[in-house]
Amino acid sequence: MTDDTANPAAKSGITLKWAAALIIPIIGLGIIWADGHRKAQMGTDWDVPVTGYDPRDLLRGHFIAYQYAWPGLPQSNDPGMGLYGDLCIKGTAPNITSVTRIDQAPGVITIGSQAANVAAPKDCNSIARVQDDSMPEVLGLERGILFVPQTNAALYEKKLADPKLQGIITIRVRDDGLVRPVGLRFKRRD
Amino acid sequence: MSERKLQAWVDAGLIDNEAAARIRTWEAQNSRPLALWAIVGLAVLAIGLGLISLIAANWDAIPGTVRLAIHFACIVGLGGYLALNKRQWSEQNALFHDGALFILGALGLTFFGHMGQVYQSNAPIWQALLLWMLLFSPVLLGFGRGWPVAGMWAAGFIATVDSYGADKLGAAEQFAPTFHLNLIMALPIALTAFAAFFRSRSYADLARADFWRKLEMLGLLVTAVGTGMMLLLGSINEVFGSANDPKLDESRIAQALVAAITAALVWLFHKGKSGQATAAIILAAAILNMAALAIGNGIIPGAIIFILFGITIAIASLYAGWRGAFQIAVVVIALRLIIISFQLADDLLGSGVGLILAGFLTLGIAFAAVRISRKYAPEKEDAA
Repeated sequence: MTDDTANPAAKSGITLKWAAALIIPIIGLGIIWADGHRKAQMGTDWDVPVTGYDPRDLLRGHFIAYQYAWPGLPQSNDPGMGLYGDLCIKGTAPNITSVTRIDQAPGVITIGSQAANVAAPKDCNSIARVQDDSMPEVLGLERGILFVPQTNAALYEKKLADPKLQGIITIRVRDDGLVRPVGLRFKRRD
Repeated sequence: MSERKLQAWVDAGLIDNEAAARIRTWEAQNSRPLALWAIVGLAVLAIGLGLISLIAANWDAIPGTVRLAIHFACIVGLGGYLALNKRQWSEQNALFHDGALFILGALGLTFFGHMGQVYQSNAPIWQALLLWMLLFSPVLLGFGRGWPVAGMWAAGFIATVDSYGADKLGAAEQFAPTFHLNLIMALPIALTAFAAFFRSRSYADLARADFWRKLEMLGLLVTAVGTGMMLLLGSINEVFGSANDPKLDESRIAQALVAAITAALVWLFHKGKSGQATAAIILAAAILNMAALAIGNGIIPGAIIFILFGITIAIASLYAGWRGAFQIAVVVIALRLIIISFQLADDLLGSGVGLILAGFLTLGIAFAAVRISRKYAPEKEDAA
């Protein structure tokens, strides 16, 4: 049987591996966090009216799954089928004047983003694109999710169900088209 | 380790005093009191689940970035402490070392959930799991010693391939090819070969070899339970009239393919009786999955194929001397026989005769199972 202490070279080799094995995840997490934090700040914020409900994700906690009511876009005949086309947003941030689809054939459902093939109209102020991989609750640009504090989840749920209140989600649309919610507020319906 | 036995061996001249002393020292360093392992395992599991709940609560009294910074500081702190105290943690105390690595892994996994929450990411869960696997596998596989780390890594691996496959299968268009996804989802079967390979390379380091042995056992357990469920599902689907589901067929072929390759690799890397028994069980999983595909899942063929799998496990366990596995296999075969007796008595149930016959058959099978299990079970010893 070999004795580790009798062989300093082998010993330090093991220690180096041990240190490396511990540093890899720490540096990796640090880079992923820094990159995620930087990207989360980028983009233009828009307000979109929504309706929604409140499920729960194991790792990330409570979230509100909401249905976008894009201004100017006719409501889907088939809610829950998803909206798999990119959207052209016009207006002065954060107020949207109108939203139009910019996929090739309106009404055709495409799985995943077809954005690369579509020339973006020049007069869009932001283009929201369908994300290739996302949680099953997100149906392209038909639905989105917002993680909320556990203590507020029930309150949000109640307000979303209240016919007198209109939920408004603020989304941040990055230049590459990625859509992320940044906040939820409510206003009285007129 | 029995001190009495050790002394008897010295007295009989089988080993000298020095060897006995070396064995005592090694045993003292490497013994793993089961109860203590269970307590530490439960404790770190509780801490891990607590972390998940704590983060999932998404407490808004502290800004998200600050919460992330605290979380990250915990990871750096624990990692740094472990790095600077290698002798104490890695070499002297396998039990707490493994518990600490488990907590480090749990902190890392929950960090992804925490980031997704703070930055409102709607990325699917497999992306976080995959990154976690890439970042934490070196430390978990390179330095893990016991069940907590082996179990965590195996669970992480299975969850990653499974959530990836399920996500992509769910998104695939109706006639899109999905065989590669089924192959990916069958990869947990290959865990046994993966562990056997590294076990064969670490024979000089007993603690490492023991870790890989645990992972190999987990792989075999996953394969045996998964195949058993698959065979059972097939024959139960027949009853509910949804057999010959092409999706089930495709995943069967994928699993059989991965199992056949895994069996060959285990045979190659893991010499000796326990390796042969492991390879035989995995090969049986491959062959019986294909047999189920070929001859269909009627009540009788389905049950026969399932029972053949159980018999293979029982014989392999007998050959390798795995007492617990043998007994479980016998009990499972008995349960399947009981189920089939009820399935066959279905149309006689109205007259009551079927029920009575099924009852007697059940009693007989239970009696036989207990007798067989007692008479032929290998002597109690550590599973190899």
